[in-house]
Amino acid sequence: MREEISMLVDAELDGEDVARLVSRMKDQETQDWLLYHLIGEAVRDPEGFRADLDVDCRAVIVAEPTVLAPSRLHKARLYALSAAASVAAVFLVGWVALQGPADSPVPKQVAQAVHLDVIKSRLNDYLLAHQEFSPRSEMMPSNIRTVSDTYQESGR
Amino acid sequence: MRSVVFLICLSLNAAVAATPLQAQESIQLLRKISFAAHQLTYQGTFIFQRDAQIESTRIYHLADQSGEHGRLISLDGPAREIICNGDEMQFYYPDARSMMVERQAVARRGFPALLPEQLQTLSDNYQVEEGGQERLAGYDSHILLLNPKDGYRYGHKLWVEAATNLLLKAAMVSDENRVIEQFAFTSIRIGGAFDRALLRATLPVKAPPLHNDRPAGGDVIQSGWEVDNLPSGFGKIAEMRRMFRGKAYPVTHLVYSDGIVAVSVFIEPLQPGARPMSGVARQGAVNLYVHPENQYQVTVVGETPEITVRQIGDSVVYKGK
Repeated sequence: MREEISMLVDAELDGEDVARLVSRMKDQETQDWLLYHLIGEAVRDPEGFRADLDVDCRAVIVAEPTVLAPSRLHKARLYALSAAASVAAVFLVGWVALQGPADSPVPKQVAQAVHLDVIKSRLNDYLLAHQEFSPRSEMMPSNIRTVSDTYQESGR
Repeated sequence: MRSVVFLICLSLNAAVAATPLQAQESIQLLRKISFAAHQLTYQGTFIFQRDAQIESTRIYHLADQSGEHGRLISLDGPAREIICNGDEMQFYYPDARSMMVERQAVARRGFPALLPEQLQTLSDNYQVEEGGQERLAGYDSHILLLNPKDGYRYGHKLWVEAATNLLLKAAMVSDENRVIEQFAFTSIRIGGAFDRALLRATLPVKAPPLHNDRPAGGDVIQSGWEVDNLPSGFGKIAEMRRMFRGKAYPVTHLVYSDGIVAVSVFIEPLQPGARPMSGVARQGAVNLYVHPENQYQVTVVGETPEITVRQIGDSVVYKGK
């Protein structure tokens, strides 16, 4: 079963096989599936690997180096991982005019580079959390901003 | 004769334009707009524009005894789909062979769209006027103008469907009368028969859902954090401690509102070795300001001009024990 799930993650199963596998997956298997995704994420971008991983996951990553064999790392899959990892994200691709404060001792361009990078990664959830409380958002048909922002994310 | 009547009607229309509304009236109307967006069944296509970017989305929205159900599907760029059921959202990214189920934070549950006290402050901050009528996407609409009384907020123009109060179009306007962000239905059908099959995801899913239950926020607290120099017209509407993905520590979340928009303040301890950040960013009507305060990093987000998020961010102080 693990092998099949691994194939699923690698997008090596199609149509009916996927449906059959999904219907058989129970909690443990779903965990495995999640785990493989996280592993892929770690391989793809060790620096940005999320800090909120279960200890169990870390242990498995260490214990199962074979999972990380390069042959498994399909390009398509890596893309999938990067999208899934930050879904729900109100991404900052469209943001403009990020700049340091006027009295910043750091030259503007340097400040910009540093900030954009760091800020991007940490603000996605904040923007969504904020939106929950905006009276204006409440007046609009559901999730206008959300669908729009996911565009920013997947369109990047 | 007919044309004379028509002319009289026209001039009457002109006379109605820019009629100030009583506070109570405008508050009632805004309430109805919020209600309509969630309680009506409708399907249509809307565009969302911010800065120079425009995109279209198809929306199906059904309200029944069990609550709100919706499906949004992007029509431009890579296909994406969002299925909403109550407070659960499913995101589909077929090109990426992935899907994610997300439950909205508990903080929001049961949070009324517009609190009475929020609405009361509305008339202190905006001059609310009727702006005449306009036909939009085949429906008659009333225009509602909210003109800001100072520079801490943008102006709003709302096109409200005459019979149901559904918002058909909304624009945020800067003080130079420039549209910063707007959404508008280009076609819509309100009510009528609704085929539930339209709520099912259409994009092929190749993988089981990746669950992402966002940790419940909503621990209501007295954090001890305050905004010393709050821009006029803003009042605190929420204060909580919540967890975020990727952060092992809780973040303090304060929310201030002027009745129509909100500004959020997020405060978190600076992590060892982390560099304090400072800067401003903007996307459409949303401005964002990050600023270090003592050993904490402050992030301010709001649908307001930069001056508002900046003033709030610069005056965040800890007054607890």
